[in-house]
Amino acid sequence: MSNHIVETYDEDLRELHLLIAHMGKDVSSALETTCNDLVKGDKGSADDIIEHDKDINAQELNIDQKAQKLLALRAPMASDLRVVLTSIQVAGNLERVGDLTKNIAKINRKMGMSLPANIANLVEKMSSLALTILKVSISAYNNKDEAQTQRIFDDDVTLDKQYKELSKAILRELKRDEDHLEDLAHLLFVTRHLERIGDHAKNIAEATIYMCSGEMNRFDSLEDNQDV
Amino acid sequence: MLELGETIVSCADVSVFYGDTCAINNISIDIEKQSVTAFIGPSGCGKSTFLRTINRMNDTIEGCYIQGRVTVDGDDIYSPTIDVVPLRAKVGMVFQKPNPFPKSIYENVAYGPKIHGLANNKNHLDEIVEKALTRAGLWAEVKDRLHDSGTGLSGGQQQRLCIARTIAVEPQIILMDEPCSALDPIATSKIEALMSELSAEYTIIIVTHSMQQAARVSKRTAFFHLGDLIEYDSTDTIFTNPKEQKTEDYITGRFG
Repeated sequence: MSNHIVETYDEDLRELHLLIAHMGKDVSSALETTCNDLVKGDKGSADDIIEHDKDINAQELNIDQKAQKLLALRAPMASDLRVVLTSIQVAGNLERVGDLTKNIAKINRKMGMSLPANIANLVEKMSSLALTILKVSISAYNNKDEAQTQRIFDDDVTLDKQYKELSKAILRELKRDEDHLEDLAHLLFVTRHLERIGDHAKNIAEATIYMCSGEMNRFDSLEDNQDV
Repeated sequence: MLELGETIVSCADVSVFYGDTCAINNISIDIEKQSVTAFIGPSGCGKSTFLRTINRMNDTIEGCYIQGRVTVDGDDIYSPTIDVVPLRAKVGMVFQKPNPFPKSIYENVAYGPKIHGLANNKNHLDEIVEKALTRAGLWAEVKDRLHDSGTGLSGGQQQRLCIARTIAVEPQIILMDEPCSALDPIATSKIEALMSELSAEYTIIIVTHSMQQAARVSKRTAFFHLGDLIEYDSTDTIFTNPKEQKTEDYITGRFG
């Protein structure tokens, strides 16, 4: 698309784009570190991740302020309007992923047990898929690539299935190992958080579709059509 | 496909020429009755020329001629049997610069009804003047100085006086050619609020350079470029998700 007649308008939009790209990279990197550490039983980075969430929150605030300024001063229209509106949505979803990552880091810090091999395996599989979905959604948004979004909806269905499978495995372990009841209960929260991260990635994918085409889509997650 | 309610203006294959220059190139468009339609586009795109074809104001320009068919309420307004004086009462016009007559406020509004023979007597004329000034949102501000000069009013008041003058002859359609471009934001808001109220009774077609204004006041928007009608759709669609790249480029400020 050609540039605006007013060059500073392009600069403002470019700045918003860079801020989102930076926040996306930051959030996915924190999630990757946290999940790897949880699986390995390494608590070394947990405090840093928890502290870093403040920075992620500040990034969201900064993006919201920039977007508000653009709305007030530039009165964006059409595709520009969609870029600004979705930047607020995407930053909000990334901030929530940051919160969930922080919660996983806090759980990691509290964990007294090493994960049993079968559960560690399933956590690794689920966190890897959640991270992939998140990265693809961020990349699709950054590159305005609507075509990339379809796999997110498909992968989220798989993630929901993994969530159920892992939850059942943890519940079985709970019955077997009452000594680690608290740890295993926390682990149930981790699975829920990973499942929610998939939903936030899906929201980013929906925002990407709206930004690219103007179409508002809401894809029902598998769980909406199934019994809890 | 744009869905319209009852149509009042229908233009089919309309071209307008100034001598050898084609200013409007084969445009077909229907305008919905009792709603606000905005014409937007860069300077020289032909939107004002097209607006003026709807009450034959282009007739006053030497060398200007039109091809195609324009109907208002089903009547072909370029038919040789059409008298332009009642046509211009039926299709009134408000201009960019407020242009009250150098007469009193009362006379500005009463002039049209007098020449069109709309008033039976002085009391009836008084009623028409009061009603028109009330509809134009000006009565409360001028009722105690009706015999002061119209040109002594502020710019925004003068423009509302011109609107009162237009509606005093009971038009069906009001054409507005950048009616707020000479006004401050407060006076502009008053005219915009007025357009919204008047659209319950009248069909309003507005040419505006302010895209925010088109977005605020109109139900449909037509985008013109170099004499062509590029896109005509609901205002929501034009300003959030236009179909044509040229429209997108213009409304997002990428033109040129």
